Amino acid sequence: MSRGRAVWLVMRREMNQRLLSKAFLIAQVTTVGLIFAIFGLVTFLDNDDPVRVGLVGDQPTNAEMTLEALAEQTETEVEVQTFDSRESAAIAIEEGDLDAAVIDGEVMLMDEVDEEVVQLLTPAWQQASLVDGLRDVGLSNSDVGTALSDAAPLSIEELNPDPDSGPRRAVAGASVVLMFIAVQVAGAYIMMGVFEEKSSKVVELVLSSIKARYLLAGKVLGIAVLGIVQVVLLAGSALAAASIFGSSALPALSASLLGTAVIWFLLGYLLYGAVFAAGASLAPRQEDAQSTLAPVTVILMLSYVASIIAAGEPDGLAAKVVSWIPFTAPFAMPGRIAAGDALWWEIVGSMAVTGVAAVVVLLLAERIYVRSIIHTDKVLSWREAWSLNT
Amino acid sequence: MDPSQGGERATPWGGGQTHTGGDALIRAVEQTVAMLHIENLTKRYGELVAVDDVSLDVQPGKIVGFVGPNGAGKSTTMRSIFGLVAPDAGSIRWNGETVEQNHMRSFGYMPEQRGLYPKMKIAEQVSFFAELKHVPAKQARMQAEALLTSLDLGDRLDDPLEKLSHGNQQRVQLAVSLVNNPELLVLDEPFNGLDPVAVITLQEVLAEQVSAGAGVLFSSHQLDLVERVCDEIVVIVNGQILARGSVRDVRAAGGDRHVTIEVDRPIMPIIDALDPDTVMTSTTESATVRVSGDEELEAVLAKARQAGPIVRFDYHLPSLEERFASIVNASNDQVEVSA
Repeated sequence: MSRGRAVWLVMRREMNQRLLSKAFLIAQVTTVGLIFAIFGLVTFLDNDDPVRVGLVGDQPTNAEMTLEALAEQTETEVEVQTFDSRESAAIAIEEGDLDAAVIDGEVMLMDEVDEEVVQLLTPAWQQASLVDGLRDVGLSNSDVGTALSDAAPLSIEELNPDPDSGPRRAVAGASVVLMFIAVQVAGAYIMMGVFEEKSSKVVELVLSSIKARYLLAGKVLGIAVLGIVQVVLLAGSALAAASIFGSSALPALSASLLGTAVIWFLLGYLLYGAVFAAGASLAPRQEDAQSTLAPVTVILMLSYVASIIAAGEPDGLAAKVVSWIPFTAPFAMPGRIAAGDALWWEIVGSMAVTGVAAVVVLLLAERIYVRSIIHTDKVLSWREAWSLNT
Repeated sequence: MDPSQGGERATPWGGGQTHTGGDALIRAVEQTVAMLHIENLTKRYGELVAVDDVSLDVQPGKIVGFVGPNGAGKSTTMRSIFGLVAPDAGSIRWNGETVEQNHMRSFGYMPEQRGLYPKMKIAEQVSFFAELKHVPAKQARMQAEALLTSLDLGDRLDDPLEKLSHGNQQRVQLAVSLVNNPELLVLDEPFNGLDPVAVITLQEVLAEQVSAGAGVLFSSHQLDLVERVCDEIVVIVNGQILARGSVRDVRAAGGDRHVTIEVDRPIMPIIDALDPDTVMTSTTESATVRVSGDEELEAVLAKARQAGPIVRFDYHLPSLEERFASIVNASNDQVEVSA
């Protein structure tokens, strides 16, 4: 009971002092603004205008219908116009009023090849022609329908191997960045908190009333609450921004992502947070902390860089590997989840691995913190602190 | 060195208390009454023995002054009461039980290294520390406000600590050490950095605490204050306790007496007749001489009389300051010899 009370008092102080501080509020407003700006920019760059297709002369019977069906599957909008002549369609393309025109089985484009349009038009026309061919051979409408419904998914899969890999990469990358920011900021809060107590020497007084481990626990838990507030704000504003700027580009963003983001934040935070506390406890003054915290910062940065590189291909081997390594998993796995690529057992498994690692690291960090926090006279090395007695 | 030696050496001179035969018994009785009982405490840092077999008691309603040069082991001893130092040997007991975290609820502490949360409002801060000592939240807040108000900080309750002057920050520090109505108050150099007004305030506060039954252990190297305030003093040098007892005991413990002789003519002939090592200070018409034992005293008096009439012949104990200096010097000489 006494233990719980001590931890709670420290936790409450930590939350009161920071949650209401101007710095915290400003940081939150800034990051939310930044997220909206990023989403706006992505949407702006990711041209979402409808594909405008012109038709000249005879076309396969269901060409237009098939095109619209395909477009819907790939979440692309199409506008179809009919033109009298090849010339009028060509003028429309040149003036930018039209993306492509189909004339007698040919596709007319501007000189640059617009892959998206070709990928859309080719299968549509192949399919429509196929249906006409089958009818010509004498199959009934229902037979054609059956044949199509059997064949369609296969042919689409093959012709459009990864229709929205771009947006998925973007989402995976953004998730990595958001998780990194969240863990980094929370780590910085822990670091500052430890410094404040150590450099002001107030820690001597606190530890004359409660044990060092409860001070550490209260601090870590208190800042965890702030961190969760932050993650919910970050991920929530990302969701909000996504829905405002058109969620079609962001396939797997959903409320459940928010839940997993909070869990992943906690895992990453527990893994890194206590180490930040231990590193900060080695330095009597803030100036000395750069060197004592260097190992932590290096691991954190490397993990971040590895995760962001792997996020370039969310279903690639690298992404799979880093989503299982405890130090990278808190960044990499949310990326894969957001990209809609992770399987449930992978998620649960890597959460478990990271959770176990976090507990081990927490215990090691606690040993360092408890031994070094009371020494306010000189900079300690990790090794010295490990074998120190009070 | 036997810590009780100082007391025993005093008795042949009749100055000290009768600590002879029943000494062991008296100490045994004292231990059962003592709230805080430190026994044979030893702490080493590598080669350095910071605290060497230190024993001391703090009784309810008494003020114990812990005196010694810098680095003598005062802070290490005081910090070990709060578990901030893990001793290599010895025990610390509170009302007979080994001191643990839950006992510290009834302790108040002012560390030598002062420090509070710079950005926390002072009433909130004092109340926070009270709550850490298990004072219920509402009561903690009330006591914090009352205490700060009594220390003239009533209009600053919601100011963050860093906005206060250095002297006022010290007051907040004092409030923190008192806010749980401690039964034991451990103050490490509490008078350091205090202005004269605050020194008086602190003396009053100590008196209040003691009359309310608290035991106080405080360290200081301002010996005049120690002399005025303490019921008992403990002198520690190089980790070892070299003297203890009432102020008078300690002053008497060295066995030395100081004799001041004043005449109505130049005193030089008298000084010339004395052992030059024993002459401490002199003016043209007076001199202060150190003597040990009745025979030496008689000898000095005889020599002074031979030279003619005496205006003043004053015979007294060394001041605490003089006594302290000779203890420290003797100890340092010993260290040099053994080294």
